[in-house]
Amino acid sequence: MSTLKSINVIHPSSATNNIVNDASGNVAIGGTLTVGGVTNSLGTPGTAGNVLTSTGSAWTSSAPSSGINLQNRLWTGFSSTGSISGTTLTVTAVAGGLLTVDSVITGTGVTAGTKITAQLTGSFGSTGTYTVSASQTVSSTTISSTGGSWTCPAGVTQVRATVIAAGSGGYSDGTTSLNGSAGGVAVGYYTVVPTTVYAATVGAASAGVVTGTSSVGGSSSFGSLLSATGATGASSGGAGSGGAGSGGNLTNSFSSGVNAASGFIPYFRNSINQQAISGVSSTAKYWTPVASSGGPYVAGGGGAGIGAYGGVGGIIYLEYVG
Amino acid sequence: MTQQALISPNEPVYNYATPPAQIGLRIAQTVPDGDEFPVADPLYWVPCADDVDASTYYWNGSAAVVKPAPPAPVSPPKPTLEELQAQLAALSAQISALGAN
Repeated sequence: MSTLKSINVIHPSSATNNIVNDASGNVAIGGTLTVGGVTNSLGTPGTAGNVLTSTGSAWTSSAPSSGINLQNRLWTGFSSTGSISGTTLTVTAVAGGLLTVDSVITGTGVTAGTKITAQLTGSFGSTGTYTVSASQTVSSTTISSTGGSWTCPAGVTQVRATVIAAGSGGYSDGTTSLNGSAGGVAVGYYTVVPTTVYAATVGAASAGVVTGTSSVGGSSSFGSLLSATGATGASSGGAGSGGAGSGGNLTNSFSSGVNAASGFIPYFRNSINQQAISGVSSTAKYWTPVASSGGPYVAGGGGAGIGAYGGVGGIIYLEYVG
Repeated sequence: MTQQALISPNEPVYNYATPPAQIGLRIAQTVPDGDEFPVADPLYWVPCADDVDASTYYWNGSAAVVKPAPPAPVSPPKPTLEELQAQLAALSAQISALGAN
């Protein structure tokens, strides 16, 4: 099907054109029109603002698309408790992260490669029911994810991707307290190829410590297009240092200090189904498993030193027109 | 070698000399063999020994080696009696000046 955007009609033997746009803005069509050697049957008047399309032998008039169909994907990694019956995953508790479409899930008895394909009930990414890609029976167990993959749909050639690595946990021995650091950030626009599968790997945050050094934050990566390294750990000798972005053709930031990725809050709040992903948990400051509690979501942030909070896990966010 | 180390050329590692000199690259993460994931240039994976961890090792271009320990903090010399008396006198003068105001 082709879309008729404009036609310059040249009629050498008559003053009447085949296609007339009248004073009301309607498109009136009379006679026949040959396009590319194919004679189309004309005669159905169009409506103002409609788009004429041709199947090769006839024209139809229909309302234009309501707008750009902006799609997105989000991977945060998560840890939850759930069971699977058939292709329905029922989640009864979420300890961290958000359950999102195209996340690959793991757990005792879970078929390898099983992905979440849709959310059926519940708040975004939280407890509720989901459909999964493989039919199976799994008793209640820990269901977790460290990312997944995205298969580029037909017709999609450009994406904007944001990758944030994980922060490191804070250090506090009761006398000395030092914050963890933030993960690196990379952002860019990329040409993608339909049917190609792109891996989405999300870095896990490290826990806060009261002795020694907190572990490094995990690295995050979207295919081989862009990546970011996690923060180094905090200890009594220092707060560690931030990770670094790689491959981002818009941003490659070298994060430093706790909470360094906070500039992304408005961006995410406005982009994911209008959900404010926010909150503070008792085990990892600035991180929340659900969208219901208060406080900022600071992907990749470092954990606070006082209280030896854990860092915040990374995320991958993808936008495209599909 | 049952591990893979993720090398980050964007993050050089320096020694503690003055001025500092680059001695290698950061090991951002280690994963078991087979768990490597695609990464963007210039990041790359290399095999490494089982005991290598990202917190204490760096990549010197051909092997993972332990990061140099930071120099121990140097305590300032203990002040003499005369120095302490001088500091006390200076503080007393400052306090007197505040009282006069």
